[in-house]
Amino acid sequence: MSRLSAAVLQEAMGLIDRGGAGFAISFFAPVSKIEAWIAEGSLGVLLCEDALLIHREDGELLRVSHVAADLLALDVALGKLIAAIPGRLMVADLVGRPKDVECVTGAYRRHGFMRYTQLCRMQRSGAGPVITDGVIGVDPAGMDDVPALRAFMERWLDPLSEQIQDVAELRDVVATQNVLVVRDSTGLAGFLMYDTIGQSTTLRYWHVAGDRQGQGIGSRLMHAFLTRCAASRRITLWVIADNAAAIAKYHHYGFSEDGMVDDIMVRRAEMAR
Amino acid sequence: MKSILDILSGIRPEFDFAASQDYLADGMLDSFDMLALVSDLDRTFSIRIEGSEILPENFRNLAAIQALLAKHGVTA
Repeated sequence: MSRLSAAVLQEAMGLIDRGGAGFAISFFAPVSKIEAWIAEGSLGVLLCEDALLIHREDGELLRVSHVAADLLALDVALGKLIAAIPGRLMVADLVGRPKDVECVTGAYRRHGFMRYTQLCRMQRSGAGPVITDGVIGVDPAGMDDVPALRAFMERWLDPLSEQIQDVAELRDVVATQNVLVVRDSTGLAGFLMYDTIGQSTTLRYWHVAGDRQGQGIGSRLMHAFLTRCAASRRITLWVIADNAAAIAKYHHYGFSEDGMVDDIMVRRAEMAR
Repeated sequence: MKSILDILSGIRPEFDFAASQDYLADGMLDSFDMLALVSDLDRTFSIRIEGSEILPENFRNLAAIQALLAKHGVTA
């Protein structure tokens, strides 16, 4: 393969035959992200016959994505990747309808990956419930909040099931005014992060510090968010599928499951052969 | 036979695709929707859109999708 660039990667993806019933893909990064990862040297690829694996360094993790003509080609490619890069903690996000995802998880399981958790997608279309409560004490994050946001994410978020942004990425998203925070006397008590493209909004994070829960902070953040996104015709989010309490809260705010799941598959370093 | 707009509305009923010139910038189609769209176009028009054709510019608006289908001999 030529020197890696976003164009070369897209060309390689185009080489994979998607005409068969077994075609599978888990790589959906936009060109801007691909270029940034290549520039920082964190992206690598493994091109095999009928399958392309894309792997990205993310702290201690190696995030693995695929484009494969069929499951057999994916199986072979995964074997080659693990032989080439043994002893790494690997994570793969497998997104789709449950019956489609289940087929692909089988290929990953054969190479030592195990399902760490499953996320389900929820969405709210059109006008949701009218929000009448106040949103006192919720502010857009400023650049001064970035270190606290990063520290909060490192302390309270699970890096296997959530992609924790680095400081530069956080600064970019804070600049868009799409991060809401609640502060108290001890610092950052909770935050909510989202992005909007046209008529659609994606809720990325909605978290309250573990020792600040039950004080209405999450509710204030959500009300501020829904007020800001009132013009969006579609709001989507991912939530851990067995987190009944969180799902109940989202139902309360007008969200419902849309049938898409994300199986987060983890291959622990100690399983390397 | 379903029209392209019927297919788009079936995937994302909350949006008015006839009113947009840029489905991506307007946030009406995401990556997963695009895969569903390719699958539905393949099935509806009995064609096979190639992997190299699954590019955002081929699905940006109705005219772009029509142009893609025309390459496969379909007028829609």
